[in-house]
Amino acid sequence: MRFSIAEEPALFAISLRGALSGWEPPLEPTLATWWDEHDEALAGRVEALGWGELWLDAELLPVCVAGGAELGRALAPLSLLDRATLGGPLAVGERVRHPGGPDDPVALATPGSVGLARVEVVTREPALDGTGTCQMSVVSAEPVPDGAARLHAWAAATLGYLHGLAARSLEATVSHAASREQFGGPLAALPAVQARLADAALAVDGIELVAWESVSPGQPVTVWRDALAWAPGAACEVTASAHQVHGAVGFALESGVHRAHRRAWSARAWAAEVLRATA
Amino acid sequence: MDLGLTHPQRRLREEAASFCASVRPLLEADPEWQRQGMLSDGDSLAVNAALGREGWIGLSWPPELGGRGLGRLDATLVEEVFGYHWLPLSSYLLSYKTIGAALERYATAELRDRLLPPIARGELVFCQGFSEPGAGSDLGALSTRAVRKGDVYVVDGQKIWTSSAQLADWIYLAVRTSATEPKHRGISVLVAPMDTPGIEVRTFPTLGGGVLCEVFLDGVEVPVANLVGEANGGWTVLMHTLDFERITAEKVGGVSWLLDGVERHLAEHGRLDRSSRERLAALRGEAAAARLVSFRAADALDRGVPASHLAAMAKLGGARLVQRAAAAAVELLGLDGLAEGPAAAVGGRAAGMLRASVGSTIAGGAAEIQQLVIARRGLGLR
Ligand SMILES: Cc1cc2nc3c(=O)[nH]c(=O)nc-3n(C[C@H](O)[C@H](O)[C@H](O)COP(=O)(O)OP(=O)(O)OC[C@H]3O[C@@H](n4cnc5c(N)ncnc54)[C@H](O)[C@@H]3O)c2cc1C
Repeated sequence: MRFSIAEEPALFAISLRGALSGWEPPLEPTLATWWDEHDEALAGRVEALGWGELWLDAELLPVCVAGGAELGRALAPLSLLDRATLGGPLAVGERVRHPGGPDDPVALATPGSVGLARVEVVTREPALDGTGTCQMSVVSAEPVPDGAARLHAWAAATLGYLHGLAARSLEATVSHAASREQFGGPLAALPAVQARLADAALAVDGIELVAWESVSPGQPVTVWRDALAWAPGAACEVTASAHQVHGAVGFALESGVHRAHRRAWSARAWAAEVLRATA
Repeated sequence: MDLGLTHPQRRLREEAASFCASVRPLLEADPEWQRQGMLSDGDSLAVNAALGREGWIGLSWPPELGGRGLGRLDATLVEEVFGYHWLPLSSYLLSYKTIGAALERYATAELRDRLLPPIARGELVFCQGFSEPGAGSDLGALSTRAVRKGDVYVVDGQKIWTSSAQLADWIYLAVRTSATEPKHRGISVLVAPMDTPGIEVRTFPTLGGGVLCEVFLDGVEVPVANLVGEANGGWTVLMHTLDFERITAEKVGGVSWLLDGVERHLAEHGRLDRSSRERLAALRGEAAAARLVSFRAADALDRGVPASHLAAMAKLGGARLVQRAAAAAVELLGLDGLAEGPAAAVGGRAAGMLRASVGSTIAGGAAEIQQLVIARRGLGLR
């Protein structure tokens, strides 16, 4: 076992971080309206770095985790993750997220795999997060030989994303707790706050480790499935703790604290649906 | 113990349910109502006016003050029904349940006679200016100053997170009236009309789907006659106010509606299996406990016994329930549960409540503060 990240994915993550720098998700979306955060310019920047077709070679799986973590840290649109690992927007059951144009194929979750499908958007569905969710019907679908590899790459990148998102959320909360004073001292000095953040730190590290285990050579496929069944919920606990420690200030949309919380819940529901559809 | 409802209590709840049905068209026409994930944070002057017109505000007040001479417990039983029907209750909860209770007990007879009857008629709405940028959980650190000059106090400072200030007629203000007394002893409570010169309000949108406010106070002159309780004796008034605020049966009602809706949706889509049934049953059990803890706290207030730890239990139980139920609803509904808006499963309330429930363990005192009250006042821990 080795608990440090290899040089190649680490370097890739650094260049991805550069491409993502300056990008911020919208802080104050109108709630309960349909919105799609997909950003074509940003997609172009990350693709130019080689963030694409990541299922082609199992050697690229560590890049999925490390790159996914950078996307998660930036709270970048999930469309970047889906397209690079699946080859198109993610579709599962009767829904697709971040759909492209009518002629763009989507990656449809099927037992043990994904296939490529053409779908027709039926309605745009306002959702908790800016996933541009649409209800759709499948026009035609066909299997792809590397469908299982795409699914694995997507799961690895999703686990990385959850790690990045949770780590960012925890860091912001630690820094808030250190600077906000109540009862004559920083919140960070309160035992209840310390206990909550310690639990969050355990969750963040756990997510990181299961993400890397899911791409470590020689693992049975159940490893990523188990990891993906747990990690999104753990990330939601972290973002909930972030809200609790921020207090009312995090409840104001302008704080942006809610972005990670909504994204974590959204990722959780989509991951659960993918696990069901691919079981 | 006999925890069954009496016949009159049952009838009262049925009447409340009929009233809720009658205001349904008002709700459906209101886009904020659709978006707001927590009924107790939602607001509608039209609904508040209807509540007042039909005699639903001030149940526990004597008839001469516009009430029906019933108990706080009766009012709490009815509030749960309002919650089940998802009435936007912020004005009601602030004006009657919380501030009204403190005015009833601590305001001068003159002030009471002036303010309580219009509250009961649904014509006067209060907001509550406690929290400040530097005083959240540590309310005793508040620094908005009120300096007495003859017959008036001159108030300078800033309040924050003030619910409903954008539409309130009056504000209930915690202010510092002594710079020399120890922290908790130099505080007083004042009430003032929101159109008093020097009061300014800024609103900002929240994760719940509504707004919260900042209230800026600049040289605001408030008559000394508007003092509630004694000068520098405000801490007792504030704590009493919080005991009433923290009984949140309406949230339990909102959760019960959500659980019923989730069950119906799963059944209609052939997804109501054994594990979802078990999950829903456990949440209903938790809701029953939270409801009874709330009713017990209201009963203690009616009997005038120390209720702070009981009210803190009601608050904590309701807040945790809301978070667990919203999370479970989204998990059980899957992607249907992420959908927002009236066309979605359970009218988008699963996602809405998930968003808004973040505030339930913060508003009215963070969960950790409720735990401290229960541990110290209830269990005697030091
Ligand atoms: C929806 C909503 C409506 C509100 N409406 C009103 C209103 O109408 N009027 C009004 O005056 N205020 C209102 N508030 C403000 C509310 O009273 C405060 O948010 C609350 O008291 C917490 O203060 P804070 O947000 O400053 O958090 P902080 O005091 O900064 O605390 C942040 C977190 O630190 C932790 N913490 C703090 N102290 C302790 C401790 N002693 N032990 C352990 N942990 C601790 C808790 O996790 C807490 O959540 C509202 C808030 C919300 C969210």
